[in-house]
Amino acid sequence: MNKLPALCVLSMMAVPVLASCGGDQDASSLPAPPGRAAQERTTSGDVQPTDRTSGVPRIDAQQLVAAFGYADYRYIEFDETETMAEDSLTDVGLTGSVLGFRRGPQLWTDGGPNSGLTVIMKVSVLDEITGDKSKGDIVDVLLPAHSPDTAANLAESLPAGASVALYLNDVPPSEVPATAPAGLLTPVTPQGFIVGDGVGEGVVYPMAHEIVPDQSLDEQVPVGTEVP
Amino acid sequence: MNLRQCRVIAAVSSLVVMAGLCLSLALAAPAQADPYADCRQGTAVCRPDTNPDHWCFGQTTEGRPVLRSSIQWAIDNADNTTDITTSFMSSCSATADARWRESGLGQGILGQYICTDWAGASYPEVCYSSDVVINMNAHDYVADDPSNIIPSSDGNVEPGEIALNVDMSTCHEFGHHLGLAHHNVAWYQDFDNDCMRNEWLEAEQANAGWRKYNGHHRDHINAHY
Repeated sequence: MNKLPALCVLSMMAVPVLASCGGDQDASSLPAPPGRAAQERTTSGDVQPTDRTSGVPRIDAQQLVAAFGYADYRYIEFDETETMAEDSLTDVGLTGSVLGFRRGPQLWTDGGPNSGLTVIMKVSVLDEITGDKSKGDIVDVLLPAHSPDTAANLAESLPAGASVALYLNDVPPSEVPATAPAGLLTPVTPQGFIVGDGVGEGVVYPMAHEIVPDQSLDEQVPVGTEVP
Repeated sequence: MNLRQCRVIAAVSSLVVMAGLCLSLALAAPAQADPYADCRQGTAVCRPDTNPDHWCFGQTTEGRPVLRSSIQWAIDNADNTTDITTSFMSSCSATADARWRESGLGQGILGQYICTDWAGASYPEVCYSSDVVINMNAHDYVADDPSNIIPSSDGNVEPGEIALNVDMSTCHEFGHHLGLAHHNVAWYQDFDNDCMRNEWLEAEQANAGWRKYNGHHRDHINAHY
């Protein structure tokens, strides 16, 4: 969609408002930009984006998409997420809540700097869509990483407590080092990793580089599935 | 001039400037609609530097003649149809721009490009080194499609179908390596077919132009080099 006309109209509306001419309105009195999460500092010193009205951890969608901006794919696109759940391509489908990130196994090197790096996203299962996971299970989701800092970046943009819907494959043991944790799962395609923003204002497909403000996580799971 | 007059003048002049800016942007809109080498924003991947592009076969391509042949074809295709200059390395190292390998992660992921050495804030759109991964198992699976509901695959494995799609995947992932983004079906109503589309190909589409870069994408690549 070409957003240019709307952007221009908004810009033209905004410019006169922002022209201060030494007046009495300073920047601190302006309302925060929509979608910008308030920043609260935890006792550990980590920045934890939190929605002040609900207390729900809130994602930074732009930063989350940018964290995966160093990778892209050719993949099978599904028109509806429900079809992805039905397809035998998918081993496990679930909704859940993010618990955190840590560095995963290095899958290969081939001499390259940062080649084969991964992160592991730990998720607490809320509801099963397909497969053998059930409420309360903890799953480890293997994701690609482009640098050693990816896990920290993801922890900041996708804080613990964020809601996800995941369509996953079992990771074949032959694809990971023997020291890798058992039972790893990985998104069946970039469309299989879906994040809700925690306050019902859209969904993000980080690996597909898509931010969709007019969808809810409920729409990405079959009817009757419990969504965090 | 009092404060009120100042604000009125500022508002009017700002509207004039913005209207002119928007008009010029609107005229340039077709080129802007196609993000190129914008990896920090997540709207497109990085691009390599402008030196000759060094590439190599990773260990997991050994014993896979179909894959190696397709990789060589994709490199030659880019070399012959754009201004890029490529150079083969007999063994992979950190100095390779593109290290090709095979991996079976993600059953619906046919290919993956990942930048492993971002140039940093001084050259934020540049990636010095990348891994380019093709998932051969996924090609076999999608061609066969046991559940028969994968969009664009008819579930019948026809002669040449898998090789055709491996070619499209190697062309596609090398396109990502060169900074090209994805496009949906609607985009191809305005531009010629090329390999940056995601959909699975059936054997009868072999000559429909899906295994090359179209003129728009070649322009991006040539402008870079």
